[in-house]
Amino acid sequence: MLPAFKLLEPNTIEEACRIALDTDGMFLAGATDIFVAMHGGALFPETLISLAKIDALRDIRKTDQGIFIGALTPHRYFEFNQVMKTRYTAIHEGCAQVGSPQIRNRGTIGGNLCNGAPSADSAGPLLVFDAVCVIVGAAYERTLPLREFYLGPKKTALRKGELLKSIYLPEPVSRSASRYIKFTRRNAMDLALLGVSAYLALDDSGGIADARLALTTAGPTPIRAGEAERRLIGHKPCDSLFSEAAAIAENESLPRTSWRSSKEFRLKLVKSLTEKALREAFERI
Amino acid sequence: MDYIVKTRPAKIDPLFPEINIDPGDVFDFPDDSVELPAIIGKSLPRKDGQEKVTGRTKFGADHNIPGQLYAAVLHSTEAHAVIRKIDTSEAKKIKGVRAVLTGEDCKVRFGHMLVDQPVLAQEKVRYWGEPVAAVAADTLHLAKLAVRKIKVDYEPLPVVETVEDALRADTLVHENWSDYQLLGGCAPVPGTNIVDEFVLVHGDVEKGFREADVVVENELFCSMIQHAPLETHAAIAIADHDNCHIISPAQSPFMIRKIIANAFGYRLDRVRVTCTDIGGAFGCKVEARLEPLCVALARRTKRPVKLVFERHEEFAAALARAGVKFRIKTGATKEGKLTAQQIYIYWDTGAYATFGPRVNYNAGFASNGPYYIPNSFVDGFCLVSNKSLGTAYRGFGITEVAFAHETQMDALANKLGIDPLEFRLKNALRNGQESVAGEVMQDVGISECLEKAAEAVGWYDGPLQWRTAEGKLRGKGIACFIKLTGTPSTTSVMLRMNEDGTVTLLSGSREMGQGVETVLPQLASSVLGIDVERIIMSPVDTAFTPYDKTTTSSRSTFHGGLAVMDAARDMVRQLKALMARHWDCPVEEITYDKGVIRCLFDPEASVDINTSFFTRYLKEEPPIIAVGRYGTKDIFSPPDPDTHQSDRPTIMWMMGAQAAEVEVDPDTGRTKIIRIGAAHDVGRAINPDNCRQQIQGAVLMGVGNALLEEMIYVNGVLVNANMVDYKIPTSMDADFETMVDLVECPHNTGPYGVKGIGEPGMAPTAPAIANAISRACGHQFKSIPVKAEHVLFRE
Repeated sequence: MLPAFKLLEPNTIEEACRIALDTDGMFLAGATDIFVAMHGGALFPETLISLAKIDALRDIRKTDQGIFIGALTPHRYFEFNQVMKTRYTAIHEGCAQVGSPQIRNRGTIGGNLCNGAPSADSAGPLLVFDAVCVIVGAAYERTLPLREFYLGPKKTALRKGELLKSIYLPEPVSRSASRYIKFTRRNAMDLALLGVSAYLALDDSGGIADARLALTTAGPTPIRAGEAERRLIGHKPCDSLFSEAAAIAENESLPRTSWRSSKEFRLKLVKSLTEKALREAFERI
Repeated sequence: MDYIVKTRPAKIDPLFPEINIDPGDVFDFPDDSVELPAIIGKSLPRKDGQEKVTGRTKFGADHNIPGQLYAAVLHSTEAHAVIRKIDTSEAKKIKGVRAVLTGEDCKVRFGHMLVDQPVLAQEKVRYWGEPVAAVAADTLHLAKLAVRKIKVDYEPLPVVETVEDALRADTLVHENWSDYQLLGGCAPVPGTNIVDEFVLVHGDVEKGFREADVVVENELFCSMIQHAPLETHAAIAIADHDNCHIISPAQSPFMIRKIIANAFGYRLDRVRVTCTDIGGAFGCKVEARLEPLCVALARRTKRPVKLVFERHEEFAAALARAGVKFRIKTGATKEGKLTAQQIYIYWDTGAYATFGPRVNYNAGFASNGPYYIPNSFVDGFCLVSNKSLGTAYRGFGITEVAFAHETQMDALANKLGIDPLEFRLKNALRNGQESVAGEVMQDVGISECLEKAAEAVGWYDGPLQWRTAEGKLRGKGIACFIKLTGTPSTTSVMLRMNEDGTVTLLSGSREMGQGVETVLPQLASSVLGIDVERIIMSPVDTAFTPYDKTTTSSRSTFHGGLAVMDAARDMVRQLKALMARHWDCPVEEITYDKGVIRCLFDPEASVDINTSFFTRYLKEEPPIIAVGRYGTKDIFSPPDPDTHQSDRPTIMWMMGAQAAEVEVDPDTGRTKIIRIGAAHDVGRAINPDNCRQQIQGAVLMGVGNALLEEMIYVNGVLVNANMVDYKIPTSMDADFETMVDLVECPHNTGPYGVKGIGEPGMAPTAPAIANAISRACGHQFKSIPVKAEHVLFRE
């Protein structure tokens, strides 16, 4: 059962941030992680600050350069939205594989990131779209590339009293495509044992103009595989190139052995799934 | 009409016992000339179905008693440790907390075979999660809060985590077995971690291995797993020092009654167990689990006490299926005839005996598989360790032993270059052959099951191993099993005719998804001719339900069914007598056919029991109430304790086979099930859809066994004690085809030939899948679950 807690329900972002500054309250979005931990006897917060009444956190706004997505947008949105399916396919694929339909209805993109889990299904895909975090404090707003958002396992760049307001996604170029592959032991209700996100953009001659790779659960935080990306850019896409890049990504990843899986197993998965993700992203262009 | 055909001696040629005898020669049931009642073989929808899918069923946790207190438990954070001190003072200060109990306050132990398990840990803890203290409070919040205030000082001891640790016996989980009351069914070995040993000796294995042209030896392993029913354990107790009333989703209420009476010193009849509906059991609700804790708290507080396990507690402190290690050696001639098999079995049954010794016994009898093997030696050890409690789990060890013998069959077939199906068929038990237990077998349908299961996955339609165009590895595998039902056992039922001519059936068989609430009324209806809609089963309560040993061992339709038919015949006699009085004619002149009662010599004297008109005959007559019984003591031949040879160790053998086609991704090691063919000898399908549902559900459970499920211990701590990290298959993992064949090779005693099907459905699933993965990968895997990393790092 849920242990007793005090529930605060601010109506505005400013109010929420102020409460967070003044108390030890935890922000509560979809509750799909916090309540599970509380039910399981692992977490006993005194105060929860529900964000449910703050409509501003649900805003989705299109601009010429990209799209702002409110932090409270549920995974289900990314699962069914046509723009997500066609332009930001990897994000759609990531969010569509979170937990179960019930969890995807409640769980939010902001919660998925702020929870800080290295296995977050939305993190890798957002990284390859160069997502930017819009962070708000009681009286200010700042932006931070998602690449700099993760500091360590379960640790983010959010300071006390700060809240993730929205995610900014730049518009992908026309000849581009993406792919997210999640390795799990079962077909649903599972965390990524490894996640690979790939984004490729081609130039007019068919060479790789831009390549982005992100790995989840391959280290203490979701990471971009920069060296592998550099190996790809400027070259003609082909299987042997993908294979080489995958080998570099394997070297860049930092998995550790735990009871969930061995380091060696995750390294093998990095290699084979990176290759596959690149190949399949390319096939989609 | 009597459908029960008496057992006849089987025809065996003593000189050539292995010669195939046409099954038709041995048993003459079904007799085609005898027409089965229409209700038999009819797929009626489950009587409990609608209530369950619409959420109206009340399970254990849904029940409440006015004035009840709420209980919470403090679980051990150590796997093996001396309890130096427990400080409950802070917990006791909380207003609304009515009792805080520790092992000091409650010295009670309980058990089914060995009374070894303390209600609350005494002096030391033996597994991570063991109840150390319990609180009863006015609200659940207060109870949980109080638990968090209790401080325990532990002095850690070395942890017995593996069967090797247990066998070494440097550390004893129980220092002195003789401290405990021994109720029977096991024989702990002093100074060791062995709670029981089972030895089966048949023929001479050394001679058998000398006769073999090939011998394969393997060390095999099955993980400890959990039942993981949707409904966690729950109980309410109302108790003082003279009387005790328990309300819980008990699987075997009469066993729990006995355990509680023995533990707390109640006279048996002063303990009442009222059963709620069960939200999944699979063996874990056979044990007294929360009941003793509730009784202890209720006696202390003199208030009703309710306790419900949360999921993390269910993982930590409920029950499990023992892990097991096998050392198995099997020999065959170059023609593919089995000559000998030797099996050492080491069950890691966890901290207390529970039903572990029974698993060892049942699995020991089944560990050679449904094969004719002239020489066999089995030595099974039930070992305690500092882990969760291994007990009954759908099949009592059958999946595990099937994994062992079926790995061997594939290994031998591969070595001899014989098709694995052919190899099994060559050695499959036949009617009239002697089993490894020394019994002359009858009503054996295993060959047909093997053939049907193989056919369902197109065994002969192509190669058994190939690579798809996408580069995936495909393989087919097959496995079979044999399982006994616990014998001797006994059951009784009552049929009460109500004033409106409807019938209430009282039976201790618990509905837990297997369909007994539908099938027993079908069997009653088959004799009475009363519409099955007019026969319902009463809730189960030891205060008024007649005795039934247990709802386990796939025994309910067989044992309960025979008792129900016995009672129904008694009811027919009473109805005939009633109408004889009414028509004033001798009872011999009354006929009863499909619910129509007639007087032979009076064409006017006829009444259909299903009509409302009939009820007027019941008015102010002595009520129609019938009793039926069935027991297997007389057929049971107690096995020799040293060799476990017996003419009849069980009333009923169950057999079946499954074949699997799998696809393995060579890049990730992940296995996808393509299709499963399941063929089970059900003897007679009373309700065919229900049989298929049982098998299909069981197959999915078997997929979990094969690919996903394991309780992972690190230094004695169960690290994956939640539903994300302990992976049972989801509905999304049921993305394969299951083709079920019901083979009907009738049992000569069972109702209309019935054999059990509650447990068997999952017995061969994991072995068949493991064999299919092994074939796909060209590598024999030696443990289940077979995980992706095993595939990737197989060399």
